[in-house]
Amino acid sequence: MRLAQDDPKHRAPFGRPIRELFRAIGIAILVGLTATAAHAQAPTPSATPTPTPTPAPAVIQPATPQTPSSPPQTTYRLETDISMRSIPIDVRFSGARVVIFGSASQMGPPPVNAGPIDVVAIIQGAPAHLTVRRKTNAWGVWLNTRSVEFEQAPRYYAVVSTRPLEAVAKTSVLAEYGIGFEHIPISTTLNQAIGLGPIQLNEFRDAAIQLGIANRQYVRLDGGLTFVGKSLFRGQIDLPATVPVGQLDVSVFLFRGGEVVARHENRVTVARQGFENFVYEFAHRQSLLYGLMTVALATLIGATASLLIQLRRGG
Amino acid sequence: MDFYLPIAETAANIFVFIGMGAAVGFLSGMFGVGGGFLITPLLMLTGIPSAVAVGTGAAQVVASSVSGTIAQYRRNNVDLKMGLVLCAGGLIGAVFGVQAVSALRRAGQFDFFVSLSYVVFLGSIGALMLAESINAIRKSKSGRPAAKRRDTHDGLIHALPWKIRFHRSKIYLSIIPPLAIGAFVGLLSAIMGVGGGFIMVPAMIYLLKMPTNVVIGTSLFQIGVVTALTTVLHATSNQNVDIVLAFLLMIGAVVGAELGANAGQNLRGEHLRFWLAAIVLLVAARISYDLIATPANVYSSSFTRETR
Repeated sequence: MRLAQDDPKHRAPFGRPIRELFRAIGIAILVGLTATAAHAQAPTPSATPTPTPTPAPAVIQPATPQTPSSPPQTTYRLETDISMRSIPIDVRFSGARVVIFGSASQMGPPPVNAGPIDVVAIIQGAPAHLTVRRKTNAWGVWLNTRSVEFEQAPRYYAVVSTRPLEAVAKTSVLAEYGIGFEHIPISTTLNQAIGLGPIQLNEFRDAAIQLGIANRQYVRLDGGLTFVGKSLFRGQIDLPATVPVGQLDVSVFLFRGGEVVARHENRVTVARQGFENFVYEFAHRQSLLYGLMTVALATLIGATASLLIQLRRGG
Repeated sequence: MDFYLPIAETAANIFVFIGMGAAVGFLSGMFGVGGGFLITPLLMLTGIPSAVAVGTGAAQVVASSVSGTIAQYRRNNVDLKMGLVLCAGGLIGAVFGVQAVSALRRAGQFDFFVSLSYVVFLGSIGALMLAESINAIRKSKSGRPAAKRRDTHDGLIHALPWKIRFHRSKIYLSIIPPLAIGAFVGLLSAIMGVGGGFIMVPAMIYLLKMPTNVVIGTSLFQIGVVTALTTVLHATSNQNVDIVLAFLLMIGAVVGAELGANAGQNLRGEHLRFWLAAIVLLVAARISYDLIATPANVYSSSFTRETR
């Protein structure tokens, strides 16, 4: 299997030539994948060395009980990868486009009436502490009167699927795997939400999700993954410039007849590079020096501007 | 042209911020106000996280104040002695202000108190200034010269001890009123998160009876000192100063400040006060509107930065 290398050209915004190049690379990936699929007995990625070891493809037995009439069970194999294993943040970073691709295959006899095949991918940033506030009107003035602290809320969450999630599986199944906006893992401990009933707490949770959607932190792309041929699928997602630095976990689920039959995990690392990394580390490690340097810079710019204007006037 | 901001952690168009800095710098150079009250909400509008907007706004104000102070100093409009006395007072006030902030935060209505202070102070100061300046403009139009010689020898203010001659401001005054005004503004600026030029300028004009031009130069000097201190405090305690964003704003601001100082030089004192009053009132009206109008979304959320 061929893997797209971490290539700075993958970064958005895409100029037209870069977009063309990107398309060419995408086609190359697909051609490579198709070739791999032809050799179904050699599924492990081996030709190209990868920066991080790929977790072994997971094989899950179908959760539904098998009928005794079919003793050789059908097993499913799901293999996926991401076009970029690491996303560098440099001064020109304004978001990144990543391609999720993979193949879903089944072994053993084809099941009878097993229902359609679907693929759902979730991209999730590391959780952080989230405060949600609510304003109420008191004496004609709008004030923040209530707030809930959610200790765990993902800073980024995208769900990409071959079909609308409602058509893929039942709510209970989606909830089990944390798939869909309503199942984003946003949690709080009881003492943080003291005096709030479960209904009110849910209102805050829904508000947090709505605000996340409005900020492009929470994204849903129904039909964002498409099958190319029988077992290959691909889809792309544009990460915004505000994508959280750190690790993004990519979980891909293979559904058959509304049940998860296989899943595969990937990882993308978003890291500051060069100048961006230097400034961030400097601001956090040498904060006094950083503050003094900011003031020095301000004084220098202010004084230089005055001097230049004075010189230009010949005064 | 987009540029990734290392502390704000988002990409931004550099020309938007240079333009924003220029607009605020213009007002700063013209009226002797720092512009912190304008730059912070503007940054938040463009999607910069509010904490970074506050810290970086302070850094920007340093640059425009330095540029504005030098421009005014060349026109002999800075009373250094008065500026230093005000700074000394401001330092005392800021210490108490920081205490007040933590007390209000504990009470849980800090944001409301900040908004209310803005409305009350800006509203009343703006209204008084507007009335006075209109009066002065009318008088000068009717041909009668405005009272030029300020009587500096009457009233309670002049019964106070430790009198000093402030040559540049042409006043002979006890050190206590400027110290008290500096302390009061320092207190408010710690609470409200701004340099306090909007309160300092009217106080110097009407309470200390300094000439309007000297007030503007001296105010810029004092704001520069105060915001330099604030910037360092923000950088050390919150790490919320984005030096790249600050740089973009500064480039615009210094140019704007010089242009503003030139434009202000051609305006009469009472006209300057009239326009300043108008801006002060606009800001007060805007904040009142935010308090009273039904918000589009009653919910708001913010991620706390992860500790590393």
